[in-house]
Amino acid sequence: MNIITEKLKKGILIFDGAFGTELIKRVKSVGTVPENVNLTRPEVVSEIHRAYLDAGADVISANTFGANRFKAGEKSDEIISAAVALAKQAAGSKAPVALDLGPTGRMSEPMGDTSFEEFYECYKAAVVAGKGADLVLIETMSDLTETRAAALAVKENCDLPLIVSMTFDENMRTFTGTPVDSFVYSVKPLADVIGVNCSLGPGQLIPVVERILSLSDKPVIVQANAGLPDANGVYGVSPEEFAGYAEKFRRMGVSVIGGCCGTTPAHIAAIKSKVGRENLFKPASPPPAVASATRTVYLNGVTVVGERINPTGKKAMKEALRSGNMRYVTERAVEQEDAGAHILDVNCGIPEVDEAETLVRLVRHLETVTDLPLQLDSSDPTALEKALRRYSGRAVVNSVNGEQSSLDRVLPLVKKYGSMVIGLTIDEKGIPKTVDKRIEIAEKIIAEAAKYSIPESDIIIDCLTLTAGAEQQQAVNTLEAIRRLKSAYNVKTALGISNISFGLPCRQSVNTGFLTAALWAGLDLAIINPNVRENIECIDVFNVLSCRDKGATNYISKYSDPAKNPNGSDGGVTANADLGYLIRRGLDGSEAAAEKLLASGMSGDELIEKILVPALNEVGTAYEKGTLFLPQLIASAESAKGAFNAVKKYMKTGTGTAKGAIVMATVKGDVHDIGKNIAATVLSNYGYDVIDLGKNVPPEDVVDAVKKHGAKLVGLSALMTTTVRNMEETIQLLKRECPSAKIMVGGAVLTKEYAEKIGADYYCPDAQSDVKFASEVYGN
Amino acid sequence: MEIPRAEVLRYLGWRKQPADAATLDAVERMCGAVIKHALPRGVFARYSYKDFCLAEAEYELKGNDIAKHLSGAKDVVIMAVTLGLDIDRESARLQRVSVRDALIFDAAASAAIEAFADEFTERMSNELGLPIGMRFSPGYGDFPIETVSDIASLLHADKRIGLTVTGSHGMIPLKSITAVAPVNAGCDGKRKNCAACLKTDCAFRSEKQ
Repeated sequence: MNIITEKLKKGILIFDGAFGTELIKRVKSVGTVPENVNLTRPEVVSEIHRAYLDAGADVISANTFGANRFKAGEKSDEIISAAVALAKQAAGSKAPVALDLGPTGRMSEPMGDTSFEEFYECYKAAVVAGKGADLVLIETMSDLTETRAAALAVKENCDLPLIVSMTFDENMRTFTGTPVDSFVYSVKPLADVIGVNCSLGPGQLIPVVERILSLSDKPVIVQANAGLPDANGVYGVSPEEFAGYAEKFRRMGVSVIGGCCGTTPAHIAAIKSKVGRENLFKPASPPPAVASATRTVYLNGVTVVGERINPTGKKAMKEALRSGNMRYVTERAVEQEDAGAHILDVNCGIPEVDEAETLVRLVRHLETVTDLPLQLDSSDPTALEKALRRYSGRAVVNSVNGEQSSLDRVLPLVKKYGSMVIGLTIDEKGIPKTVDKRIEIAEKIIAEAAKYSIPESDIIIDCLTLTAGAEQQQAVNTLEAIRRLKSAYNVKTALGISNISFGLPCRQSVNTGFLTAALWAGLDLAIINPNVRENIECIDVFNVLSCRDKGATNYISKYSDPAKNPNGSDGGVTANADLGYLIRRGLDGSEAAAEKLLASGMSGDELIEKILVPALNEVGTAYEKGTLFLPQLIASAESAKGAFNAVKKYMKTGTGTAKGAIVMATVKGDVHDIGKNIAATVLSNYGYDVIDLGKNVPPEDVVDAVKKHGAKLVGLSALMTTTVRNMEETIQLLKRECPSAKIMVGGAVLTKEYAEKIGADYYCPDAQSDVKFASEVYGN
Repeated sequence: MEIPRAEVLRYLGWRKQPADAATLDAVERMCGAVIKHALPRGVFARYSYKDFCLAEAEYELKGNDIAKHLSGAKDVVIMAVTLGLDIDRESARLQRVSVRDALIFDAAASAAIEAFADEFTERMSNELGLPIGMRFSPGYGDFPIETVSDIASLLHADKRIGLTVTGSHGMIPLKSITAVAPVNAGCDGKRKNCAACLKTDCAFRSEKQ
């Protein structure tokens, strides 16, 4: 129990209103750090706090909203400390004081340059500096990664109650695209009160408030703006009107009400006099769902979990994880999403890698390429903990089992991060042979979870898929166990289907048969390869026959159109089309044309040397002369890629080996990478092995990659005057650590003279010059 | 919001090469994609301009070039506009699918944010009932790039339009502009062309006079 929960038992809580608008009325100038007034004009700050207390606020917020280290710099701690002291002094014993933490004004990776850890440290410092406060309010947040880091920083560095509020627009999303649902499912476990503030006036917030209340089993806060500002910064909603909405919110179930931009002591006084005191909040029973920062997936109906990001028995994935080939992982993720997966299982449990570090890296990478929520698949609690901590969303933990040590180690993590959890019906005695034994283990898992107040609805039971070839009777037992569990408990069920057919011929037929039976037994989550058509078809048919696909609309529209070609059109170009022509003109169809040539007996090397390279060279020269411009150059490069793919597929062993490794990176601090990405494409289409490290890359990572891949050439890009110094630092480090590697640089901020000055070997004014230098370095 | 096709081509480095149908079709498609993914937003504030400072913020605008640009103005506006983060997302997705389309999308988005900034300037002018001169952004001439973060702070741009800054004073979303413009001074209200700009070695310098 904490002071907020205690107070809410007695009635609603009224928060204060805007500080900024009150400040401007009283001081002549407000600079880039408004919170400096805590140091320069403390009497004004106290006056504003007293005005809100006199108006009837039950809680006041210290003037610390933008006082974090990112915005206020070195004076942050001093400002926060002073602000809390002033608020405490004004409030005395009358009202608790909230440490008010707003956003840092930075964007999380991958869109921005700020890491989870950097956010955490910033908010931690604020919590420590503000330790005189009675509770913490994190508000006006848009970025889910930042919000979670802030919430964890509070939870792990003090014992104060925590309120977390995000800002949503009329589309029910934050500026970074986080929907209301994702916020609630991800943040509710970390806070005591959640809600919405800012951005919109009270009337416009009603749909957002409704949605939050429908999903939250924790009390809800609403602090609306007093409407929208006009040209003179005057807000339109009067105190009376605002109070009218506040009463409406209270009747809906909101129990903490205050005001944001444009509200005044008069608005708070109106709330105090017009709004009833009774707390009408009723905790909702949120339906089972998982979430990423940009999408929430409800577990109603059949949920497809893509199983492909898993090295077990998959040599190529194992190799990709071992070598850090994120592109391979991206392809598997996107492929599964396109095929209809709703959730992606992620597993990297092989001895060759540090599982915890790799799992976190995968989580961070996958959030750049897919919206799908993740299922974290690991038997290493440390890996699970690190991944759960970092994950911006609500994940599924795969898994716990009936063994006490598994439950003791993993359930606390599930509780802390509020995830869903898969429970395997296996324990220290081994794989159960009977239906009863499966149920018994499931019941144990449910009972243990209840000790942590983890409800049945957060639990997914996996009754185990044993190979029918070896344990034929167990298939029926598993199906019966699912049936019984679904009728007796409010849990979901999952199965990894493919194991059923191991060792049998015509594996897919067995998989399809088992999947069908499991669905009819009540299976909720099918962990499958969604890229196998028959798996998805099976589910689509089930959805028709079980009446979930009303009118079979989805089935009919999906399966009636035989002309659909998901791989993109061939543009009507016949297979006899001249490959060189296609490349010179940047047209589609090059892959098919190349395949035809290879099938007719041309070797891969010949195709590359006699057709691809001359065509690309011709295009390159035309570009340099100015008779072609950049989009045409790129279209040709992409056309060439199709041909290279055909060569790679045809010649499975070793021919067309890469012409040499080139490490490419956009330097630390810079996130403008489109130019570098274009150059990387052009180089790889010329046959080089491009290791693209991405953007915001520290110098040490570039050096590591050069050493690891034996690259003789490095390409660095920077866009800004402020980041080009990091380019210089990277070059200096490379010269020390990898003296034989040549360095080419590009980016709008560079000139030939500057490139020379910072020690680069080559200056690339455009995409084509990279190729010239590469061929010089590698002599090909 | 209208995206001027000539500007898109200029950002693609077009110098009157023959543009084939596939490229022109891609330009149309990508302009459509930008419109679809853009959520243009802007925010501004008016300040008195005295002794090279935004008076009410006691904030000095550093450098000679901005001083020259604002000379004669008694008031200025600071502004921040953005197309929103979905443009960044779509750009990243396109880079995985078709680098050519990604390149054109990027050029179209650059043209779009400039067009939106022009539109926003008209809006500001209408609200204030006064003409507003040409905008001048941090990074032009000797106007320090660090000013980006300060303009964003003064406007509370993060909470009002979702505009954030990086440690190096870059802006996210990528297609965003912060700028200062004179009010009722030194202006014909129209954006000048490249002829007036100091960067004579710019790859995108227009040949128009």
